[in-house]
Amino acid sequence: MNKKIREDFPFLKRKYSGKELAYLDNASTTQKPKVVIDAIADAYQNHYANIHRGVYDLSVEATNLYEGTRERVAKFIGAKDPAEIVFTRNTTESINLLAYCQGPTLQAGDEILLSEMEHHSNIVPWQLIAGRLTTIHNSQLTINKDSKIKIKYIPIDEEGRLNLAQLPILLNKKTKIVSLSLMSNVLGTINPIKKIALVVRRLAPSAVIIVDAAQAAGHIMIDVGDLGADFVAFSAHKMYGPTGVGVLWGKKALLEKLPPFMGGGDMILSVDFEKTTFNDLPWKFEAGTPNIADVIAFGESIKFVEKLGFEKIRKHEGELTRYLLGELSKIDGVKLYGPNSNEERPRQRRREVAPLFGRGPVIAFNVGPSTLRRDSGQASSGQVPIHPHDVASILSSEGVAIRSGHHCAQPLMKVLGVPAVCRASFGVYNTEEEVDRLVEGIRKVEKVFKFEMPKEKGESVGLIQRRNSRALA
Amino acid sequence: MDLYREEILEHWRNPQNFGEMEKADRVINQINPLCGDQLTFFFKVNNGKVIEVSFTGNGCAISIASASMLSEFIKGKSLKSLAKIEGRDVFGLIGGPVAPARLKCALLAFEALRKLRVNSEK
Repeated sequence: MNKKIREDFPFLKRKYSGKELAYLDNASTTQKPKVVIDAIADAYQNHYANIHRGVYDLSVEATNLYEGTRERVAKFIGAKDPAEIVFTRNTTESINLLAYCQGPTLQAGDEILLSEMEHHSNIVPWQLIAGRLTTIHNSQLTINKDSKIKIKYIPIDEEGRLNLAQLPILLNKKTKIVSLSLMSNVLGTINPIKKIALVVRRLAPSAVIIVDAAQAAGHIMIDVGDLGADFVAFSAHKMYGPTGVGVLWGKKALLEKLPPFMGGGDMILSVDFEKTTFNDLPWKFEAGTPNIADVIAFGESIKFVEKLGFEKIRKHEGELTRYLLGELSKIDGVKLYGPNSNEERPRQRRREVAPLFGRGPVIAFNVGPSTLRRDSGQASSGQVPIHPHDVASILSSEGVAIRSGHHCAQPLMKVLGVPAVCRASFGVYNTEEEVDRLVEGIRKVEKVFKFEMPKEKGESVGLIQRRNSRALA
Repeated sequence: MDLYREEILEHWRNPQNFGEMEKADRVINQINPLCGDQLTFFFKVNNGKVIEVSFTGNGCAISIASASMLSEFIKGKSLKSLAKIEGRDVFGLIGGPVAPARLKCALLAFEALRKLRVNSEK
């Protein structure tokens, strides 16, 4: 990725406490290129009117731009028909739409299959559906084996990959929903959806397959024809687009079968006192005035990503990922989570850089002298890991922005056996220098907390020096 | 970074009053939804006084140290006098203001104490 790309992002010019900010929280949300920011202003300044309503030229113009983005999205993800693209607020709303509209078809005895690595937004909507037949007490909802609708989870292995050997045990004819992320927002794991979909079709023929592609969008190609899923959800804001725009793609026949989500303007063909005829796809699911200007600007972020191309994006982000994984694995005090081996790399993908197969640019880790937890009842003598919040605080004072916490994946934290993790995640504008600053920041954590992280064999030189010497050798 | 003074780090390494308490009069759970950090406080109250206090849980250095310091501070105090403690007193205990992003960590233990007061007033 050439350096020029940083010039496209006005945000990167900003200094933070006198330092350039190394923004490594792209899995949360990405910064916006100037073309997108300009497109929002342009939409309001020059093309703004309500859509699908006015017969005057300006309204037609706004409608065409809005619908133009829909066509662009359809092409971007390989959808056959723009009518299969529904605009929502975000991935969360897309999944909730499905839970809300598909949920009522579920009956006692039916099952929902998720995975242990899901984001809360791909767990809680399904718990709400499963809990439909349950009373909620003290703002607490419990789904257990006695619940009428069951939720099962595909377990993960030590490297944070889905344990697919479990599929035949977890799937059956009662499975009605299978909803999985394409890329984990914590582990970076890219799940083999296509492979899973084939198994689901065989063992759970009446299940709909839903893909949460929020984390994947903008990093890897999403080809809905190839994935083999029925629905795919993602957000504009994680792929250099505006906030407040989400996408739900669904197979036309399935979308047609679903009842509407919200009622109101634009989702109807005609309304009488006694009856309403719903609008055609996709407007049936878009009640009320939508986020017109941001949808229009989203078109620009797609153009931006397409212009770069996924091959280039993947290579750049992959190199940064590999570099950071390498640097972090040299520090004994750092524990890494997520795929870091190359075992399952199939033949045809050999061209991909070593630890990249099955992994996106998201790196979760913890820093500390050990990974022991402070067991209740006994304070272990200083042998506790540094809490991710403390790591992120110290990094922040060094001008490095990473995320810390449970990343809206508390069930996954439980599986990993930690209350929280640190997470660095890359976008197209990140650089090796920024990775160096992150690693130096972790050395600073070591200093502040005054524990000795084992040095590399006999080496005591600083990071920059080491890199230089490597370059010389 | 000023926040991580030696005193804070010492309380983090060796938290005071850390551990479960049998036969506690009151057990209060406090969760920081931002990060999922969780503290459980145990109190023994006699004649309107906190005679024993302990806590367990998982948290960052700031939340553990502030819980440790607060637990030392409230031991032996009357519920009445504890009612006067405010958030800013906690900053006094831990030796200075905290960055806005870390307020919830610093005040996690204080929120538990607040629940003790509310429950006691009933």
